[in-house]
Amino acid sequence: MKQDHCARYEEGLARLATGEIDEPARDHVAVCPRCFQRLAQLEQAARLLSFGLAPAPEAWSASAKAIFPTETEFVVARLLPGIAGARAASTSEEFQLAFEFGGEVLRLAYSKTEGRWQVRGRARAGDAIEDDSGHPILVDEEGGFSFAARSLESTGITLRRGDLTVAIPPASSRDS
Amino acid sequence: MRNTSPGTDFAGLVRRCQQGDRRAWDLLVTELEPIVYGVVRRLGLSREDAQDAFQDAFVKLFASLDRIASPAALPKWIAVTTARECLRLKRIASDATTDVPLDQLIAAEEQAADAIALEADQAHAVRAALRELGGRCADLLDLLHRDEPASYTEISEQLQMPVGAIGPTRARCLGKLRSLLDSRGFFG
Repeated sequence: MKQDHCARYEEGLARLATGEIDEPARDHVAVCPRCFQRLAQLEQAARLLSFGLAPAPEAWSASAKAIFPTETEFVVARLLPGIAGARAASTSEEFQLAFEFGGEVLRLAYSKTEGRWQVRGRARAGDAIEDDSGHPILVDEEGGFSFAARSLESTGITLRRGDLTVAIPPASSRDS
Repeated sequence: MRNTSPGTDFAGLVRRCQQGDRRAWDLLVTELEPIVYGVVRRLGLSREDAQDAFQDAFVKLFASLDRIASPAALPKWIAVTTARECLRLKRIASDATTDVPLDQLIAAEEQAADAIALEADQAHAVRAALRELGGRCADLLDLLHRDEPASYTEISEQLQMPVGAIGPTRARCLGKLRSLLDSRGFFG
């Protein structure tokens, strides 16, 4: 019976909790401990709704998501046989090879100068390339790069593009 | 007070993160970032310090992924972690000198951090209950309790609701939210 009596003030209590005036509800709260407690709960819910749990700026959120290591895909580039065969027509100290990965072709030009192999190629701007010792190779704004190696065995490189890591085998692998 | 976030399976997300599921980490960040951001903003840091504290909270979460014993307590944990870091940064940034020993300062910071974290955790639970409530009630209360609340005219247009109905509807919705929170044991 008493609960039915209180039920008629429910909306008034919520109005009081949101700062509105409701005199019948206010008078009732003064004499009803149960509704006094309900009003406190409504006020707490309203206050907590205003705590300010907004989504963070997108850039902050993105940097937090980037903490988790990216699952990288690792592939070994395939030496294209047709181009490799063309090597026969070139000199043993200057030739080109082409490697395929993910539908793309990377052409590398090898030339021997003063006992060292110079390797030149063109990747994509933003690619990261390392030599076979893990040292970074500078990639220019247009994707061009070059590096020197003591032997053909040490001309292998690693190319990183986003989540993809590609191993480009050394030129010595063309004979195997 | 019980955690009242029935919609988020923190244990499942943590388990998937432990298995290397990047998507689960994204979801975990999405779920927890409003808490971290809310705490950071409440403590009034400079933008740079705020961003540092925000990032630091998630770095600590990532570093702790293998040691989380109670995933359901993650909202509270990350709120405390963030608040402590914010207060530490504020102390460092402050030029004011004090005679209070450092250990007492840190104890006071921890107490303040716990209070803010409790509030943030409760706010998160209320927001979760609001999501569960759904419908026009969730939309209306959300619009009315934003940092910059929408005007009754804007709400009327957005929710296709007469201006005169907004007040009574708001009261009814708040009442429903209270009942839902009560049924979840939120009020103890």
